[in-house]
Amino acid sequence: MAENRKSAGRERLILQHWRVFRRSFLSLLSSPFRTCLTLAVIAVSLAVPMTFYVLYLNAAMVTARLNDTCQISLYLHRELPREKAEAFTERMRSDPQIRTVRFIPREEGIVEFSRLSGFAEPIRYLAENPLPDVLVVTPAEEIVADQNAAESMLRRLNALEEVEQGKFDLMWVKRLKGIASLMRNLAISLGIMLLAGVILTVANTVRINVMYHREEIMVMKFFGATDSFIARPYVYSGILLGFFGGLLAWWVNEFFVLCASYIVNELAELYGEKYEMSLLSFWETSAVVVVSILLSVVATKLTLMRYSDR
Amino acid sequence: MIRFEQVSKSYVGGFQAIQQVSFSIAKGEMVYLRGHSGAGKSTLLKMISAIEQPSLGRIYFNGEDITRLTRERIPYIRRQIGMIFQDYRLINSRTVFENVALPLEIEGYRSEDITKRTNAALDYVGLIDKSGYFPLTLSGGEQQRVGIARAIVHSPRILLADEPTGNLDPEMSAEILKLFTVFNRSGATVLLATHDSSLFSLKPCRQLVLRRGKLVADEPAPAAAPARETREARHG
Repeated sequence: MAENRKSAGRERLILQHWRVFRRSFLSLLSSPFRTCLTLAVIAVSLAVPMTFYVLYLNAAMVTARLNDTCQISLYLHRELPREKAEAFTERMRSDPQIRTVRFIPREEGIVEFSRLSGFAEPIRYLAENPLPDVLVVTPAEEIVADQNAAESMLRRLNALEEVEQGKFDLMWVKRLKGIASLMRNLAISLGIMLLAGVILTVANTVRINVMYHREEIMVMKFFGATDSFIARPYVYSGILLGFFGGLLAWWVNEFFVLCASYIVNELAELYGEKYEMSLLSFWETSAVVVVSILLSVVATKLTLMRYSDR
Repeated sequence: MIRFEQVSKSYVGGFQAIQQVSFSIAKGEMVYLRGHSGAGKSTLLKMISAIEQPSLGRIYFNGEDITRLTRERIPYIRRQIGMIFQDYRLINSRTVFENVALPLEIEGYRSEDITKRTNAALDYVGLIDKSGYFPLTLSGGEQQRVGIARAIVHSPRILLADEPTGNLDPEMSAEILKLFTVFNRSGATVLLATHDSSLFSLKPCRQLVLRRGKLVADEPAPAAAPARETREARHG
């Protein structure tokens, strides 16, 4: 008996929620201009930090890939005999700051240069091979990660008597890292500002709604409506605005990133590369929608607390 | 059903709306609450429905002290009350049917029960054929009948009416009063605040008379007993 009553009560509650949800949805549809305006503000507020976040992710991925391929080219003295060059290679291999060493003899170097440079024909007419033996050294991970350590290592290798010149250009990687870090910081600071914007936008929409329905709310209170009953349509409106605002933000972000991806690809093609920009994952997108809903609900609750009375 | 014990209500600035009022109303009674504008009638009704809290004294509703209610308990007390207002207080964006169905919706009735009870209430006030209309398309008398249907649809224990005929002509007032009488005969308590003395001649019953916030007379229905001064005589 008690179980039946409990289940009837649950059904009643579900029914009440469904009715209010439907009414909230229809109420948003009944004022399309205001709803679209609110959705647009939410979407833009979320899409801007989302876009910066996506750009940061891509820049971080690129710099990580560059870290992996970061190498030092050591050009040995041309007069250095082959056996000494090979002994030097072995010495380098035993250096704990070095991960890998590849020895490129000058004969191999000239072949590769002829193939890649497009100057194969003129090179054939050279009296002797002008290239030195080269050691391509990949530093250990902790050296690559630390700019200062990398530079001091380069200085140490340059000072070795077998080495004529060592090259290790990390400046542009450093700059790229700086840009990535700027994007991340922009995403965070803009995110905080614009998320506050979402709260204010939704709060203002709810406040206007509450003021518009003040009489209705009073009548409901006279007939025994609880605070949660009165709050329900506004909370549902908040959830719906948050959900659709989040989806719209995802769409705007996706559109922007796809446009950017096209431009980046064109640029990469100039260097004979191909680069596909990565978009937000399903979980990241879901997180944005959930955050959008939560912000809207928080804004709604705060507004209702401010405007509810006995 | 309702008991006031030395109830006073004062507002910020020192204005005394109600001063040491004591009376009780039994279940099934129909009572007029009379007095001029500003006598404190509306304040008294608001205190019964827990919209206002008394500054002093106690109010009991069905044995429960409603001056000590928690915020969460107030809605459940109000669900036992049907309220009617001089200005009808209908929701203009909802149809007549939706207005009347509101208390049932608040209490979480099932759709079929809402339809059944709302139609019965609209039939009771003679507006079943106007259930799809919006309030602003109705006359004042019709709007007040919608208000009455809304107040009785959930079968409240008590009906509180604040100047329900204030905006109506005498003929319509008589019609409205008839509805209250029928509802009272079904066993519900009715407390009708009015300054319209003509209603009393149409349906004589007990009168509580307020003047400047004080209960100056508690006159029983003519058939029951002669008039008496204030409730002290009634309760000692």
